[in-house]
Amino acid sequence: MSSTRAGAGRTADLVEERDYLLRSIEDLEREHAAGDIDDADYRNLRAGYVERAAAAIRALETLEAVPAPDDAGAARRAAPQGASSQGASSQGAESLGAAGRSRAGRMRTFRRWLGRRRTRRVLVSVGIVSALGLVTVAAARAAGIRLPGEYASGSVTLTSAAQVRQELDQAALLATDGRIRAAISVYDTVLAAVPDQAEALAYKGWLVRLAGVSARSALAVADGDAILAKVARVAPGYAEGRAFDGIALLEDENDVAGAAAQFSAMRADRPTATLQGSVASSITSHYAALGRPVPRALQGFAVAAAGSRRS
Amino acid sequence: MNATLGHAGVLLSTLAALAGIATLATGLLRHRPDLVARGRTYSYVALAGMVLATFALERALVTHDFSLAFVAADNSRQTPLLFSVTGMWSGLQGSILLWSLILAGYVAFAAFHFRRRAADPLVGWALLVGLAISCFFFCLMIGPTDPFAATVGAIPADGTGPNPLLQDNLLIAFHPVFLYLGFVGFTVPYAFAIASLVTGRVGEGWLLETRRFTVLAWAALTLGIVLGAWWSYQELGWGGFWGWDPVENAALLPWLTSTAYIHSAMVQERRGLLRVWNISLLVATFSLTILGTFLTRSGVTQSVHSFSDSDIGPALIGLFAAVVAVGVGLIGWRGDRLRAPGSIDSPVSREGAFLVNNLLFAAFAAVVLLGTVFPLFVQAIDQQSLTIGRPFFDAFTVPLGIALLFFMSVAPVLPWRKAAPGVLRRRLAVPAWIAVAVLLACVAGGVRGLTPLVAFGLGAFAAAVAGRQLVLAAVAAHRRGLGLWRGIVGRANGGMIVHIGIVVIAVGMTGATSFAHSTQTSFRPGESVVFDGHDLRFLGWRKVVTPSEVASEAVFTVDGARFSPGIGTFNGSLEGTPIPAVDSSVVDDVYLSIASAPSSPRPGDGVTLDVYVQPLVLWLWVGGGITAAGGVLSALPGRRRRPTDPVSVPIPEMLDEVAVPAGAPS
Repeated sequence: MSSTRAGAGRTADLVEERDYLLRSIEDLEREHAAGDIDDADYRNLRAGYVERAAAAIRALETLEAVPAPDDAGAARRAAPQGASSQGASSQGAESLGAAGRSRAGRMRTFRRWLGRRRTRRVLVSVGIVSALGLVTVAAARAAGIRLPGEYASGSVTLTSAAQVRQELDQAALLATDGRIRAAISVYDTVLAAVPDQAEALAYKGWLVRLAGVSARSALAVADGDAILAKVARVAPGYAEGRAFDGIALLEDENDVAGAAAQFSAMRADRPTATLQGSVASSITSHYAALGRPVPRALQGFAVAAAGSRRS
Repeated sequence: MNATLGHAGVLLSTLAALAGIATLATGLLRHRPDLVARGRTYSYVALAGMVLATFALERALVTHDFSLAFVAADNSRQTPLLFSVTGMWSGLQGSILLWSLILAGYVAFAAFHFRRRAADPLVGWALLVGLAISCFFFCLMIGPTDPFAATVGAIPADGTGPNPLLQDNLLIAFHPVFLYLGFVGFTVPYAFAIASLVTGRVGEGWLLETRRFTVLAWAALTLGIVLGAWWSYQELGWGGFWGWDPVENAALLPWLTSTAYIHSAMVQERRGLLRVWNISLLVATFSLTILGTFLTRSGVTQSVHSFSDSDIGPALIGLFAAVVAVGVGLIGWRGDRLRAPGSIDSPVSREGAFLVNNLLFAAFAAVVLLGTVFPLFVQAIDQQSLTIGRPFFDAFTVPLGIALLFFMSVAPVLPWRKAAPGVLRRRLAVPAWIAVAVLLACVAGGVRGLTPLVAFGLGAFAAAVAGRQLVLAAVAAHRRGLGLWRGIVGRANGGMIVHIGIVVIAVGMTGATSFAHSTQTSFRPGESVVFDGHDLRFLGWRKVVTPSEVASEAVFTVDGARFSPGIGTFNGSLEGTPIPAVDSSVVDDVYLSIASAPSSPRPGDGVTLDVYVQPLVLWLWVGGGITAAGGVLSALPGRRRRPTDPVSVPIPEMLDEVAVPAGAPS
């Protein structure tokens, strides 16, 4: 039963191949007449189609005469398998073996191997896998950590205001992770685009100052303080800037009056409870470390901040 | 009332789809042609249900029926009528309804189109597949994305309104609709491809039957993508139009595979080759539309084009897996029958060029797909958030794009089977000289850089080749007394118009990306700045108040003409949305977007402005229009061709066969 089905399938394949080749011959005639194909190509192509069509017809006749599975197998072997096998069917195994010893024979064998369906499949598969591997490696090398505001792919940014916001968020994240140098670098990027950007100035100044305190570098602390002083000048209504500058004045220069002035300005800008709490904490810690009471000028900020924290 | 109508519509569609599936399956499996023929009527009922549901949702939006949760979340009493109507696709639930409506429409149209062959198992299986996919989306609306779900708690007096970005630009009325017409349109050829595999009729018949569906879906997708880029350019204030954002990529992927398919289908029609490849491309195209929907609607990825998160991700990824598994499984099952009866005679031939063009499109798609999903895979496996930026995409897609331009130039003049050098020389001589002339003119005009020069030169080459083909076709049509316009109608001629459109887009894209200049400048009222040859003067602020929007606009003159970029707030929101202004011309665009400004500017306040000057941006939109128009023209019936007609030049015998109408000039 299955052999009959296989024979029918083989017949259908041969019929399709025959029809295809006869249609191709007719097609070729028209293309030649239209001037698409020149005379030499026309003769070569036509000869190839005719030879293959004849082989298909012969194989079909063989199958129809003796439709046994073995003969069908013989017919399959007799029929050409495609353009690559063109002309090869007339060669016996013996002559092939002899030719294989010569260079031309080896080339022919190589071409036959290359023309085999299985070989082509393997080569195409290897090619596809290699190409995909190459692109995947390139993608892995190109991939970077996705920062706030970025998407899985591409480089769409909204407005430059949104770009600045995105970079400020990135810097804040880096600072939270303890990557101070990287955070300062991102703040510098923002300041390169918008030199008076208050948040970038305030937080850069604060981070530079903290780094200086940590490294006991008076120079770095002075740099940080200078930046914080600038914030108060260029963005007088920015509460964080006032708070940072006040703390710097208190801790680095022991300037109680200057600090109180900054904290007053901060309070006028309706700061968040968190910010007030930070200010209060800094004041109390500073005087606790000194072993002295909080001066009268600053007491209101510590008390008020404590109240805020409680609320 | 609206909820009842809507639920009734969705339920009607679902039941009709289920009944249609059952009827068709019974008829096909039991060899009952009467049942197969009857199955198509259910597709009309499914469409009627979707029309009813759409009517109900639009009515709810226009009448501000906040008893529906979707309307309360995406509409407000201040929303203008147009944006109330477009509000249907501003949110997830409504956009699934739009998708379902279009899908039901396509399936019903296919049933009507093939009504005379309704009992044919090929048509029956195709309708079954179409109804099964429709049923999936109808079921989504019964379950997790019900657009008619009631508002929880008290009905609000007013809604929150649509996303500000979706109520400020006319393009939002068209971009999603065309994108969906494209995405969903590929369901029909996919359904026929599956039907051909199931029935074993894998010859060229189904390919010819669905050609127009494919081409029209492709044209709609093209227009949808271009309109999306235009919307992004006009609305987002970043001065760009394409950023390789995940959702942009999701729309581009099926476009790439379907473009490859449109070319390789011609090879199958003409030479009977590439059968497995063509079916694989269709499966890839349709599955990528589902993947695109997953990326856009599941919340798995953030995007400037994504406006909804949801929990339908698993369902969509399940459909994607099913579509791929069914396609690949059937291709494997029918492997023997899909074997081509011949092979390519010569690489220097039309089919050889199409094969290379297909490989290039496939490589392009692979790069975009990997670049888009790689970070998602890493995140799923390693919980690490990665991003792949523009340089990765540019590194691969620029050379691939240039190679595609080259093959677009050469392929139309290549004969089938084999090209003799003489034939090529004859046909390419004039276009090549035109390309050289354009190249020299570009160099003389100050254009520098390898990529732009190659792109402009190849663009001129491809446009000249396409123009030559159109002139030949028009002359041939005129000789047959059919009128010159016939020279732009039909597959080959419409295809050449598509090529010209693509060239215009490529030139625009090259100009806009290679020669763009930008600056950020602060202005006080009355100040002016000259940037890149354009005179910009800031006149002052004005406030524009509409029922839904309060905008502060900075009034500028650009070369004397007045433009007003602004920042708008919608529906009482505190967060401002940039409203860029563009002075557009054939030569360049001057794009103005507010970088920073006081929250409530007074007449004397200054403004900091982002200014982008980008050449040839207008060409992108014009090119998109030409491309889509070419797609439609190529779907119109042209001259009837025999399958074996030569492609390039009409032969005398054929001309003689055409009867010249009475009165036509001889």
